[in-house]
Amino acid sequence: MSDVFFRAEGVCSGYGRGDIVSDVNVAVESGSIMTIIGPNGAGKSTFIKTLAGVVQRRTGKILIDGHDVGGLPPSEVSRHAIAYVPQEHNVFRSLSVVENFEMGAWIEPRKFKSRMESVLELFPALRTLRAVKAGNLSGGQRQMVAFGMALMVEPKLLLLDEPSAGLSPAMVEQMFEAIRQVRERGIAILMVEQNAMQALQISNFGTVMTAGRVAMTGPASELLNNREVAELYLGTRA
Amino acid sequence: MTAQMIVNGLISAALIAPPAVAFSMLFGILRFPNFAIGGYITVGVFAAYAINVQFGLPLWLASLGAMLAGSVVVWASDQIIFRPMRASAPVTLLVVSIALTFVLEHSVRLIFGADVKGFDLPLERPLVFGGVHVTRPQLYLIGAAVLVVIITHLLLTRTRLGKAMRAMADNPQLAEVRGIRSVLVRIAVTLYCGALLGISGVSAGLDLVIEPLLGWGLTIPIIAAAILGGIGSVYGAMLGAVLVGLAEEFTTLVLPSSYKIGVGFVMITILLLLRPHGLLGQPEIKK
Amino acid sequence: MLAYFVAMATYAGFFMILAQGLNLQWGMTGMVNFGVAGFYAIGAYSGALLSTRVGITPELAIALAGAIAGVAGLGVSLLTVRLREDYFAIVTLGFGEIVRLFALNEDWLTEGPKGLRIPVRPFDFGLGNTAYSLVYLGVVALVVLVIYAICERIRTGPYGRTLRAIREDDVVAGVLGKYVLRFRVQIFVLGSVFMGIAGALFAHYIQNISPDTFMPMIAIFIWMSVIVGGYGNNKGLLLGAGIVMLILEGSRFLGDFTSIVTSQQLSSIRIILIGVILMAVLRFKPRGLIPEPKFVSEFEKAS
Repeated sequence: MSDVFFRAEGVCSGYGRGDIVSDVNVAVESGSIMTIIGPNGAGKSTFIKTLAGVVQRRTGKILIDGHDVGGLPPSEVSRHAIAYVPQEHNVFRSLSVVENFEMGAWIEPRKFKSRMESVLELFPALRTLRAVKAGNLSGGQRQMVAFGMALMVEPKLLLLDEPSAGLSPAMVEQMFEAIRQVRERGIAILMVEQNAMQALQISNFGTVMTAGRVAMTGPASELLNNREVAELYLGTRA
Repeated sequence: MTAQMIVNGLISAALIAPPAVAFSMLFGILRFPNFAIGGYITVGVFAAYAINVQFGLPLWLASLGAMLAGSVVVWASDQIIFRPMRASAPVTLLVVSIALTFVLEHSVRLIFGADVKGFDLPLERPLVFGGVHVTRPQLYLIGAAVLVVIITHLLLTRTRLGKAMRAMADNPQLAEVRGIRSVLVRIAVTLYCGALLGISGVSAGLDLVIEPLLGWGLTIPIIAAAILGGIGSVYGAMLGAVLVGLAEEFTTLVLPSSYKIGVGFVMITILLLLRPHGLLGQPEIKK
Repeated sequence: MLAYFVAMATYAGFFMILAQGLNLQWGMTGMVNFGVAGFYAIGAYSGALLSTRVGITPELAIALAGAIAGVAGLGVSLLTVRLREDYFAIVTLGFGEIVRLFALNEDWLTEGPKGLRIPVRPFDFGLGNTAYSLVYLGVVALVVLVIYAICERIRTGPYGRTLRAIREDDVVAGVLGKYVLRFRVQIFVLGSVFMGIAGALFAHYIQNISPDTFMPMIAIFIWMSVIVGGYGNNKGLLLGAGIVMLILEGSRFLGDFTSIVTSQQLSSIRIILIGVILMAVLRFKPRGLIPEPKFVSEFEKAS
């Protein structure tokens, strides 16, 4: 892969005694989407958290544009053009939508106004909700805010933890469409998804994780056509 | 229920509103009820006393000194004690803060002695407005409280730092993820709250007497006000202060005034049993 | 000299009883009682009033005082048992203060700040003063040992294991549901009974009590004993109570030999010392000096 912008090499991490993530290698190119699928408890979420610095990596390298950001706290990781959107608790509920975006742009406050405009173009429904406290929004609207916050720093790598979780089918469509549009802007996207079929359909590449390790990886189309993958992961939706 | 009682209640409210705001803000980042606010207030008032009475400088200068002393002691205790222990259970931190408040107040007692003192102020007759007596220091007290409320409101809603403080209180992990350096925001909060507690000490010294256990006596009404308003909610703290101040005044109709401190405790108990998240606050978001 | 040590040991005994009561409540069920002084005071005043005003024989009065403190404990715990532990601490602190304020204000009952005199002597077998103080110490020691035995029985029995599970794990506690609340109330009441007995013994020993004996500071001293000794641990807290006693009395000793500091300054120094030690212990050794051996499951041992 010539254009690899982000690479995780041999990453191990965990919370307590054992490792939840063992020796995982993943690479993502700019302007492409890599989706990680797998059963519950496979360590997908923990892996993404490790890349973001939320969970401490134990071994391995986390290379963005050649630079190892492993071992940095989340606030420093985000200064390397990496933006992470957690699955839950991903907005500031007591702040308004605009204030949430302002916090999203914390690292680059001067670009706040212009970037908020571009995010609102991506999610026009939020335009009328600007002054509403995020805690009073519906689940789908909150996901939009969470996603929008991450875009405020124009990251080069976007880490998404189950962006479609808890959303209605229409909202899931909208979210995946937004993710596609973000890819068109040249951003590298690494996402974890339970909604395997729909996610792989918009992805360039896919990785299957089981029990903390990489079981399979390759172009998304290959995974979609793979019988084992289809049986195990594509039949079920979140 | 006379007008004088209402005014007295409002003066009490003006006394406890700024520290209640500080307590709420601190709770947002410390995540436990910090009983050391009593000790911090005592440090503030005695710093002011030292500047005003022992060095003979004017009260406004002493007030600045109190704010500085407050900032330093809150920041230092966070650096040395609370931040390193941030993974401990809230109750452990509570016990530590109670120990700290005693250490601070008794250190002050050791240095300044236990006698009751007062600021170096000219004696004046109280002003009278339609049958209600108010002293000039009490007016300043109310003014200071209003100023604190306005400044805090502007800080939290109009400045980037203030919004970051609210964001951190709301969801510290997300704040880090979005690039907010929690260490720096934490320092800012401790310095600001320390200044508030310092100036609260001066107010307390003006309205009550200056003695080393001054802070302890105020701790309960302050916490009651903050809990009443919803711990973590700054505007709730202000509202809570008014209610506690009025409640304390009205209880003197029924009980001897030395039971006043009991009022705060009873209010806290009732609140916690009925509405654990207070009037304006949000229920604690469990991790 | 002997008289001094006997007195010191007797005071230590009161502390140990209080610490054991607190240890039951906190160490075994995680209920953070900051109102120790309140139950101590209730025991002291009830015992005193029963034997002086009502004329009950003092030994019986002491036992009844324990029961009365237990009833108070029942009231407090029923009201507050569901609260989060730091709020529980604040409320119990309030209770202690309200008791003190009541004692201060209702002087028709308690003689208020003047102090209540108790000219009655329990366990008085007509012996001289020295012998009497030894007898008193003996009685206190006996009570300490009996309570120790009771607490050990509870701790090692199935009841105690359940209690520890509740303390360590809210999920376990959740599964047990309403039984948790019942356990907590029962333990709280028992602990309050012990504290009340300590109070009554104290009142009859010192023979003059006033509200400022029962300041919230007491809670800090007793907490020190429990925490320094290692919570949940009965052996440890006797050590802890001993250490606290040593600090308190040791500094008094120092005061007798130096004239540089006044007694007022000395009391502040004492409190500062205890406060700093408590903070240091919690900061660096939160499990105490003699921690409870961690419960290691078979599963963990195998892996």
